[in-house]
Amino acid sequence: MNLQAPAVFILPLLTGILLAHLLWPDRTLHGLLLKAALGIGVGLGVRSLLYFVYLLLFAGQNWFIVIELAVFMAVLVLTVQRERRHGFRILPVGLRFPLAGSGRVLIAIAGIVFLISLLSTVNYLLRRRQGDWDAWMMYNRAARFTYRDQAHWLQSFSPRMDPLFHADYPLLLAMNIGAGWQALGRDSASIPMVQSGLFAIGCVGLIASSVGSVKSSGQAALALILLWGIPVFVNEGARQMADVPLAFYVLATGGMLFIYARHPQPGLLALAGLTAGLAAWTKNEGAVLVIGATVALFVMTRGRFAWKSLISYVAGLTAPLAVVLYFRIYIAPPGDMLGGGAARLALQASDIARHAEILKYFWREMVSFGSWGIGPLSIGMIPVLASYYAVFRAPISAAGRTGYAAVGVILVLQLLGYYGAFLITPYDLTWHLSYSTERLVLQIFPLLVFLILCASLPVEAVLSESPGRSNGVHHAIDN
Amino acid sequence: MITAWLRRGLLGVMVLGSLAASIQNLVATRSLGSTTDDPVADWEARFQPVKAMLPFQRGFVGYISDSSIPGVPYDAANDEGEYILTQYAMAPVIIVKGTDQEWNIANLSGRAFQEWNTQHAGAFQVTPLKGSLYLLQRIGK
Repeated sequence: MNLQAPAVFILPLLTGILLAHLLWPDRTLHGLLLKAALGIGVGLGVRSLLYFVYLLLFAGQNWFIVIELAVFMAVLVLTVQRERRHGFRILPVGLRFPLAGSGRVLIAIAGIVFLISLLSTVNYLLRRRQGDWDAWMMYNRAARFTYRDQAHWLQSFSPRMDPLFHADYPLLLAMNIGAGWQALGRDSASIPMVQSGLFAIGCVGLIASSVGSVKSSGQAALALILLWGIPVFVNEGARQMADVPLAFYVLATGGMLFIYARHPQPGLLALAGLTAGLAAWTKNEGAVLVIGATVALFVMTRGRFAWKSLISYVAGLTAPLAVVLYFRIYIAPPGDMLGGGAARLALQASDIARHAEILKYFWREMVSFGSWGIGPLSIGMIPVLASYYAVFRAPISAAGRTGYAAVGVILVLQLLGYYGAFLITPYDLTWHLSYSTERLVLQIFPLLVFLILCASLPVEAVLSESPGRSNGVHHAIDN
Repeated sequence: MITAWLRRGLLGVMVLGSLAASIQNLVATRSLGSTTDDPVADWEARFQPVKAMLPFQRGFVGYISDSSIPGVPYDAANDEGEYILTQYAMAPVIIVKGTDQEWNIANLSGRAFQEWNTQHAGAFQVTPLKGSLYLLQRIGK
């Protein structure tokens, strides 16, 4: 792989970062780092939407780069204009917990884990250049169908295609790959490889920067260690599938709503709406996130929608949701989940044995997901996180409760959505559960880590307390 | 005091466990094979002659494999994997199972091809290709 493929991604990434900054002009260092990570998913998502609209209007032509440049220039000019008014200021970090020796050690370990897992990702990508099973079946396949013979790309969604290939699936990854290939001038495995790596790095950067923004630098380091220290997440991030990108958008949406609960700036809701919509453009499960985020917003405002908030959220959500709905209504062949009519769905939903089997698999995955796979430490990460919360729990202020409630609502509704999908799946239930439960838990795992680490004492506070005496440090922490 | 030690201990386990797991995973990725091997690209190269012989760039092409021939043993997982890879390699041509199309691909072992040929001789013009592939053009019903 040469440097041409990464270069193709520079424009959308810069556009995404600037767009995130335009919508949420926070100038703290933590905030800027958060937007740098958020901008990866925003930029790739926006480029995917633009390329889809471009194909609808100008299929067979080869000037998408002009649109990319125009959008980038527009966002850049708007950003420069506004920043000039603020004198290009970056606010001081304002660390609540200045880094002591132990905090520095934690950050150093986070750096080591980051580098090791980055190497693992590169290793995996180079040894599986075309990705894994679902990548051939859906995402990279769809990209090939639309890029090769672009003039007739709409024929890619023929209902005669075997349902196994899911021609009805949302196109965020495929459109992005197609846009990259068009910029590169050929279809090359390096574009989906880079895309996969970017979403993995973006997800890790997003959890570290968002936890750092809400909590502390040490807690951010711990978030990175926990997420990128588990092999399943690292490997999944290199498989060129859509689960890590979806995890990115789930985390981004939950994170934006959480931060909005503390700092109610409308731009955060616009970003939450945008990332929720992009989740629906990534995978079918993302549609559940749109419902979850909307309900979460309702819960946060206790049913009293402030119009300004609602308008911001809807403004962010509109473009991706319009594209998803257009694709679903006018282009995509019928999906297979609802096939067989209401009678099959009712029969399956009322089958107690199905409920029991789904619950059994869910429980098993909750207990074993993300195991380190090291002898006596081969325990799942969710029990580890539960133990962590039990001993690190911090009191939650009344003002902070709505943020936790919002994230909790998203997680619960997402799980309920998965449960419902298994209930009505037309596939063999045991096969479907064993094939996908791990990846479904992976989709919500980063947001769960975010929630637990935000609801816990910062590690700096714990590392600075003397084991020989009790202290009331947690009473002083605004949570 | 116990809580403070418990916290430090748990934090230590979590950090060291993650660090060890990340190192172990890095070592494990080496077992995925060589960086110079690309079996999917090899599979694709196998289908290049088929693509070159088709009279269209986009359309429908039939597909049969060993699992389509009664009595011929096959590995179900491999069979499905090959079907998926064939669709991936043939894009944007849509692969349809069976031989109802004018153009069809037969991905058959020697025995499976012989079985198939005894039943369908004359109905198709058969072009044998490398790697147990055959391009079948229907010439009659």
